[in-house]
Amino acid sequence: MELVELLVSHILLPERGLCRRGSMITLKNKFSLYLDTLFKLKNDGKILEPNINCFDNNVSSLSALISLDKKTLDKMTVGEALDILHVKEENNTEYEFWIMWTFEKIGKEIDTDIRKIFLTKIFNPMNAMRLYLDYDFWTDEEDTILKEKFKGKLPKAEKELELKEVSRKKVST
Amino acid sequence: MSETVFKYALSFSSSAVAQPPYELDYARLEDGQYAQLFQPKAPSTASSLWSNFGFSSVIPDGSTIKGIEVRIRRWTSYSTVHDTSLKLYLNGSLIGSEYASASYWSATPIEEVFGGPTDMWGTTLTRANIIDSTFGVHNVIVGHTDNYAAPCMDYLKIKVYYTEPRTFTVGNVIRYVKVIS
Repeated sequence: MELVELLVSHILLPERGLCRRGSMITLKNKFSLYLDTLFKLKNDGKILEPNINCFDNNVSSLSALISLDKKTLDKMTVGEALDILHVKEENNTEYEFWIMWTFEKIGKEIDTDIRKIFLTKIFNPMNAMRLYLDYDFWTDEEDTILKEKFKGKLPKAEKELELKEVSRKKVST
Repeated sequence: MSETVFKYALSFSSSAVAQPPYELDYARLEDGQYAQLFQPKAPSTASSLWSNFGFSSVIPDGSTIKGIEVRIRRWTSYSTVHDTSLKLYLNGSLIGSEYASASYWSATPIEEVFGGPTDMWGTTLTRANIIDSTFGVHNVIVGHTDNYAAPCMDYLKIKVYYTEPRTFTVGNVIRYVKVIS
């Protein structure tokens, strides 16, 4: 069983869906809702998109989460889970590609507090530029954070952006 | 300014495995065969290194290096593969500026050009560096698709632009004296 399936099977709650559909997921929401949204679980709790590497063996903190008892997991909020996974730790680079993938899947559905934590895990300038280009949900503050991560570090790519050889999803007002 | 012919890597390695029957070694030469990397479902990365271009016989001793041009023919069946890094490599280290492109890889085979006649990639290079067997190009890519990425690489070739050393032969000195007198 993939680690991600193991994780979901541990945390999946019967009462998932506590957050009203259409509202954003916050740090205070249940982690189960976050996973539910991320993996688009079917009614029987099975993952629609198995074998995804988003939590893989490289994420060393995952075992800490899985080792918790189900009762604790059931009560856990997104913020608490991110603490256990050491996502908020400075210089923790192991989540970068997982977070890239998460933004693609549910970037629009997580609020700016979660997004801001995730953005601190983007270290590669090109990953920052791709996020900047690919999604239209960024706030002006997030735009600035992303630009600072790649500005002056990607001479070729920045030139392409300047010459509009690559386009951005977000339309500047 | 003089220029070399395009040279191909004598060595290629990748952190990814090849998708049979497309062998990794097919990423070296412009010979109609190409390598197809096998990447698991996203997000996954792969780093590749082309090195040992055999420039020693084509760049005269004492030449000054003026520019490096790299051409890569590559594509992917899925449009969500992009570079996270493309840099020159020498003796175990990445050197110079980051030349990764912001574009996703093309869905059809294209030859991409990096650098040029006066482009030193943000570093200084000597002839000794260029002819070093470890000199090459290092490329890191990432696939964000939920499907298996299948990046294909046909070849990578390098051309070096340089100025030849001034030689002080008797004939050259006589010509020089004639010019200034």
